[in-house]
This record gives sequence, structure tokens and C-alpha cells, in this order.
Amino acid sequence: MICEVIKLLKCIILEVFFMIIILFFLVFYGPFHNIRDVVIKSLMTTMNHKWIAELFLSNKKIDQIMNKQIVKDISQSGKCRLERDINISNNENGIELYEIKGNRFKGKIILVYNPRRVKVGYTSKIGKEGQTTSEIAKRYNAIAAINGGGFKGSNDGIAWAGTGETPRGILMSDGKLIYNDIKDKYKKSDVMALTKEGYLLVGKYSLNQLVKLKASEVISFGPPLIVNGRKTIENGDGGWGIAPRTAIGQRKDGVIILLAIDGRRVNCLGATLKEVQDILFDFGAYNAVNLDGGFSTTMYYNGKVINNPPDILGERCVPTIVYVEK
Amino acid sequence: MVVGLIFEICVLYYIDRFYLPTKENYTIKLIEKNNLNKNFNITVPKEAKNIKVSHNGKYISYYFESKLYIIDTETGKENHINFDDEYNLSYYKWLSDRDRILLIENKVIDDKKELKLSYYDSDNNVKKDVFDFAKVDNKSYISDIQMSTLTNIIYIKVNHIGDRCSIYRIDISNNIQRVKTKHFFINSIAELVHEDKLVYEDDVYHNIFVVNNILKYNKKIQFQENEGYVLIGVDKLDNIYVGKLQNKYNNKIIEIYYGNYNTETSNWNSIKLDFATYKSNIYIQNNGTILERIPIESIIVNLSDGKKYKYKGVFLQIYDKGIASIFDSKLIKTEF
Repeated sequence: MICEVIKLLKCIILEVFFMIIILFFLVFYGPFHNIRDVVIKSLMTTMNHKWIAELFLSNKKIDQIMNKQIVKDISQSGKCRLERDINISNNENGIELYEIKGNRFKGKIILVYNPRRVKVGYTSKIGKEGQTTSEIAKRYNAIAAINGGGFKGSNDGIAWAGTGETPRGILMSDGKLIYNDIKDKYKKSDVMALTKEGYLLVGKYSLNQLVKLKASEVISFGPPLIVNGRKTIENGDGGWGIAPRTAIGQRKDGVIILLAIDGRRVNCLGATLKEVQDILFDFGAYNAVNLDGGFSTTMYYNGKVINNPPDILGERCVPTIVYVEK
Repeated sequence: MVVGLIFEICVLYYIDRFYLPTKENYTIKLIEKNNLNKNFNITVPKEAKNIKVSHNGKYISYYFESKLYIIDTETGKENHINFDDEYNLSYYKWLSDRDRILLIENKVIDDKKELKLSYYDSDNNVKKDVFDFAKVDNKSYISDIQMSTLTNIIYIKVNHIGDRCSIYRIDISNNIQRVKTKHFFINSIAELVHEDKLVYEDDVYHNIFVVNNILKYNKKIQFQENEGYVLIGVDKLDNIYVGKLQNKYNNKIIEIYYGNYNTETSNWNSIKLDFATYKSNIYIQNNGTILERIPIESIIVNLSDGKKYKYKGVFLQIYDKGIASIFDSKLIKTEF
């Protein structure tokens, strides 16, 4: 009797093993291109899982898939354009919280009526330890916050153990340059920035340009999703696959839009960049940029984390956040 | 095994053809609207001078790097007035009941200063020059402006060399007069709200006088003693608040009298102070509330009802609804 059971078990395990191998083959080499592309794009835009994609496909094939979707490079073109197009009202001061539900994702959006209340905050132990979005937000006495930029992802070379202590690119907070690993101050790179007057800057800027435009809050990240009212992703899905997303945008009336979409769960996979772009566009965003998604996606409001970060342990420790002053 | 394979292929087919490609439709639901607590974080530069707050605390203003900054504390919006051309800022003051500043600018011509009166409306960010009203010595300076929005009379006190004073009276039609007083050395001035009368304290003997040249009115308010009384202020009901000096040798007051200048001072109300204090620590609100600041304890005491209010940091000013102070370069408002 026991022999029979063991035999049956061996059969099942063998079967499952074969099914999994066939699954991998079907996904990467089979006719299911949509699934293959989504998986490749999602893997290639993570910090540490690129190797899985590279294991199955040649670099040439991977590039082909990644390049099918291009994010257009549109520039904001200067202060005059911002001042002409964006009209910041001086009297509104509240914030609004929305819930958004799709088939494949759900998330939250916060509208901030006074853009001058939106600032960049960072871990008090920068260089040593990241902190959770909610911890950083509480220190700044923020009413709301989302996680901000990326960070160096490895710990002693060990992937996935990064503690979020070192940001990448430029970090400016309250008008002061806190961190910068881009040595050339004329070199342009994707940023999210807020000027003293409350304008949101997106896309490629150099440190020199940011200083001239009186940017007081800066985080290096991208790509920009909407620039001067134009979508940067017209074809394809943006090329980053499906994942939790964090993003920020600004409407023509100056109102700032903060977005956090959950993912990496069975019933809530996440959203593509194009979907994030379209949602922000529907909310009226005139300029918008993608921020660090994945495990870091966090939204904090009124004392609590109000989204569902996918990590087992909850919030990820990050170096920077975008917060709303009380 | 074959069954499992077929099942697997069907699932993949479904995901590939139906699940992934369909455009995501989503629904939006408003969860909450939050009208934020209106206090914005205002940072004041360390070198800022003449930091003042408007009557209801809505605006904060200060002079920094040749500019007068006016900041809306509710939204953080900053406006400024430049003073780097020919005019310098001599003095400025917020009106006691509206969001407007009176400014006196000066232009140096040879060895004289030409004084110009202007105003600034902070709600609309509009500055207007009124007119040049006097020419004074280079070393003279403006020490006070008093105004009443009912009589529309403005009094400007200028201190000359040796602290001799001139007081200019400007009415709504921009007529200027020098106020003739029996005294050259004047300490504080205050203006009645409903009547065109100036109250002042002479700096030598410390007595209180009420004057109006047009009516040829000049009366000393006689208290029990012949001298030793300082002018603290005036309230919206035209009550005059006077402090009695402890003695001739220090500047501290021990008792406060208040009443109308037309009534006998023996009928005036009085408050005895627990400890002698400088008159600059006493504040009269528009509604007649008397407040005393105790600097060592960083508190303001309401002498009318005994309530105490603690403020944080360096004391700045008392406004209608509370106390303004600066802590760690940030403006803090403590409401009553």
C-alpha cells in the first residue's frame, strides 16, 4: 500500500516537473508572444532578475522585444513655456484622495491643490540606511507621501538585499543639494523636480539647468510620461512590463497628482507605464513622470500606509520620498 | 500528463489572447477630501530685519537683502518690494485692521533725505506711491506711524539729531501739517480711533498729553502725581492705557490705568502688576484685552482673565488672534 502511494507521489512530482519545464519553453519560445513580451519586459526592468531573461533568450532577441516600444523623448522647453501653460492658483489648499480599480490592478491617487506644499524628503541616515516612506513622512510631519527615487540595489554585492541608503543621480531637498553622483553639471538626465514657484519639471535636465530654474526639490528618475500635454508612449505599453507603479504629475492649474498602483499579487498584477500614463492623462496631467515602482511603491496618508506594498515584510526602505506638507 | 499539457496550453492561450491585450478599464472613487490645516511652514532668513506680522497673522513681512518680503503664511506665496534704486526703506508698518502696509521711503539728495509715503496692498500685490511729505536731515529717522481707518488721519513721528521730534499729520486729502506740541522730546504716540486727536508722552517728565492743533486743543491728562506716567497704547474704543513708573530711576511700570481722556482719571480703571515690568512688555489688543509678556518664562499673560499662553522660540509680535514667534528660523503661530 505504501509502495503504491510513494509510486503515485513520484509520478505526480515528475509530471509537475515536466509541466514547469514545458511552461518555460512555451512562454519563452512558444507562440504566446504577448505573454513572452510582458515577462521579458518585466524582468528586464527589475534590478536583479535580468539574468532569467538572458538565460533563455539572446541579447539580440531581448533588445528586439524591448525596442518594440519606445518612450518618446519630448522636452519641456524652458521656463517661459511653464509660466505660460501652468497657472497656479493661490487660494486653494486642500487635498483629495481617490481609489482607482481596474481588472488587473488597483491603486490610489492624491490630488494636492497647492503645489508649493509638495517637497522631497530623504532618510535621516542617508548613505547608511534607508527608511520606510512612512517613517520619513512622519519626520517631515507630512499629511501624505509617496516613495520617490531609485537606489543602489545591492548589499556587499548581494542582490535584493539593498537597504535603500544611497540614492542614484541628483537629490535636492528644500533648495539644498544633498547628493549627486553625476559629476558633470551640464550632463542631462531624467529627473522629477519641483521649482520654488511650484512648477513640476520632468524629463532630461542638467544640474546647471535645474539651478537656473530655481528647482528646490529634485529626484533622478524617469521616464517622463506626459510632457507639455503630449503623451510620450503612443505605441506599445512603455516597455517596462507590468508591476506596481509610483508616479507624479501636474495639471494645467498647478494641482499635483500623486499615484500609487499595487501589484505583484495574484489578483493584482500591476500596471504598465502606458496605463499609468493614460490614468494621469485622464486626471488632467499636463506634465507627468514615472517614479520608482516595484517593491518600493508606497503611499502614506494621514498617519497610515494606504496601499499594499507587495513585500512580505511590508514597506521597503527607500532613500527618498515625495511628501505633502501639512 | 497529456491532460495537464492541454490544460496548460489552454490557460496560456487565454492569458495571451484575452487577458493581457484588453485595455484596462478602471473606475475612480473619491474617498476623502481634506482641507488642510492652514499653517504653512514659513522660513525666515537669519539676517532678516524688521520682521512683522499682519493684524490677523495672515502675512509675515521682513527686510532682507534690499527687499521687503511679504509672505502669505497660508499658501507660502512670496511677494517682494525692491529697494535698490534711488529709494531706501525708512520704516514700514502693517495697518491694525486690514492687509495693508504703510511704507516710508527716503531718497538722499545732497545732505537731506526726502521722505515719501507709500502703501502696499498685500492681498492684491499692489504698491502705490502716495507723495513726498517732508525733507529732513540725513541723520533723522522715522520712529513711528499711527493711523486710524475711521478718521483716515496718519501721524508720522520723525526723530532728529539729539532725539528732538517732529510729528507730521496727514489727512485723507493729503494735507500735511507739522503738529505743534509744547514738547520737543516725545516718547510714544498713539492716535484715537474715532476722533482726530493725538495722544503723546513727553520724554522728559513723562506726562501724557492729548492734542489737536486745528481745534487748538492741548490738554495734559492729570493723574495723582505730577509726573512719571508712560503711554502704552489706545484701544478700539478710544480708551487710553497709561503705565505708572515705579520710580524716577528705572523704566519699569507697576500699575496700569485706562479710561477715556474726557473723564476724570480718578474714575479710570486700574490694574496693579505683580512685578514691575517695562511698558514694552505690555500689549493692548483692539478689544481692550491687556496682555503682559514675561520674557524669562516665554509666556503671555492675559491680565484681564489670567490665562497664560506659552510661545516657542524668540518672541516676535502679538497679533489679533495670537502670538508670533520664530523658532529654528521658522515662523510659529500660537493662537489664543
